[in-house]
Amino acid sequence: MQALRRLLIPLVAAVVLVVAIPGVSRADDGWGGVDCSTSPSNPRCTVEVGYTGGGSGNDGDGGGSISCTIGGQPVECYNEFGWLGSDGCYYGKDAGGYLPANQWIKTCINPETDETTDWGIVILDQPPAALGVLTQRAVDNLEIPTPAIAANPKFTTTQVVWVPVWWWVQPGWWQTQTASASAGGLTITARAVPKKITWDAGDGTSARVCEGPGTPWTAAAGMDTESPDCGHTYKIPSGRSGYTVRAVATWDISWSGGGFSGTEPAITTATTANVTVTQRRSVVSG
Amino acid sequence: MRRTNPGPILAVALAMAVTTLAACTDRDPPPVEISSSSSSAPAPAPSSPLPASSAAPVTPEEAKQQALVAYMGMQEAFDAAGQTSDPDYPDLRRYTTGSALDLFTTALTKRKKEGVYTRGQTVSHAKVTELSPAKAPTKAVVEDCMDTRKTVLYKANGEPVSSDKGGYRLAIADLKIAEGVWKVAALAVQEVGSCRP
Repeated sequence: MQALRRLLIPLVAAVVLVVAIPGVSRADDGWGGVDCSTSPSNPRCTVEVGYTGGGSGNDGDGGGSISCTIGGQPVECYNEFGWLGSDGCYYGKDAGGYLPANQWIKTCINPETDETTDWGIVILDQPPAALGVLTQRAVDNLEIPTPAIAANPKFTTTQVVWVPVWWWVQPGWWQTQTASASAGGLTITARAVPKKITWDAGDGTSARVCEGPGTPWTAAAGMDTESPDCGHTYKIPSGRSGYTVRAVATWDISWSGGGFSGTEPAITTATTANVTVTQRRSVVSG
Repeated sequence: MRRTNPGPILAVALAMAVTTLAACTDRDPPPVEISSSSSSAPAPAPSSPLPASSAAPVTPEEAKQQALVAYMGMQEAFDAAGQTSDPDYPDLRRYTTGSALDLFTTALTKRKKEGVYTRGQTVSHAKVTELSPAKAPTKAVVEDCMDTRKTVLYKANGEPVSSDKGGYRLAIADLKIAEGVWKVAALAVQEVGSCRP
């Protein structure tokens, strides 16, 4: 219990983000009378984790702090056993770093008797609640750009059927983005890695998946050569309204820090452009 | 077990064999042999061809699936039981046990007495977030950002009990293998607005 008191984080709240609020629900949906207002002894109803301070910003590490309560009583967000989970138990890693990323050592302590009530290796699909607040903050701090798209012939010029279009993103756009968040001496760094760009030509043909930034066209390539890795050839004129070209970038999201690591669902960003495609005059007159 | 840091012992044990560690948990119940089909129906205890002490009755993937089936069974059972506020609805016992079953029977008994019923279905976005022990799991945690906007409590005269709307509620369910099948043993349903789908 001494460790518990020693590690309690004094809370000087500037901005407190509470992720799990117990309490009385007034909503009379189908769960009225079955919710946490009627089962306050369940720790899953009463574990709260708050994140204090820590500005966001491009690569801001924030330097915030987190605070945790169970049933309104302050408890350690982390201790020698690990980080607080939504069940009031602590989840940590082995000193040797042998455990896979999704396996954790769970330790449950009875605060009354200070005894360990449960202990074992468990599989977690997401970090324990207190750590999750930090990883989520790091991921939220990521600034993920929409694709800076370019094409030849240019999107702004009228295109012609059967002329190969080259698609690419501006040089320098295709790179890993990072952001971090800190609390309690731990810094979690989130990473967004571009994996692919899915291009929809807008003409009803199936989307083209480009696993890289594409190749910028140069005059040396000539007008009749196809892009080696990312492009399209229109075969049907668009009419006056044009086609909507849509480029969707997919980013793999991961986080790591302090011997912990994990992944989050991929994030996509998109850019659209409008192009007009006409027949070659010779084809029209023929 | 007193509160002592198992770190040093663990590091040694891990260096020896990570995979055997699940057996070190002295408080966990022994692995229970359950049907390998994903059905959560009460099944006759299957004969175990493997020694229970070291066998892996279910892989984490199978456990995940079976736990999810039990959780969704609970959702359907509560939806159905709520239409008539029937605390004795059989599927409630099939998919829940312990405090979760108490929670439902207490609430439904109260509703029946007050003459209120539910309409509509809860839309689940359930996923398994925790399995333990890592080998041959016998416990699981399901998190569900439930959409309750289409559900309403109403009185016998057809009027809704209140004008407050439902919304997204975070439900965290603790499941375990009981009587050979996965059941929801504890359920925490947090207030409207407690999650984002």
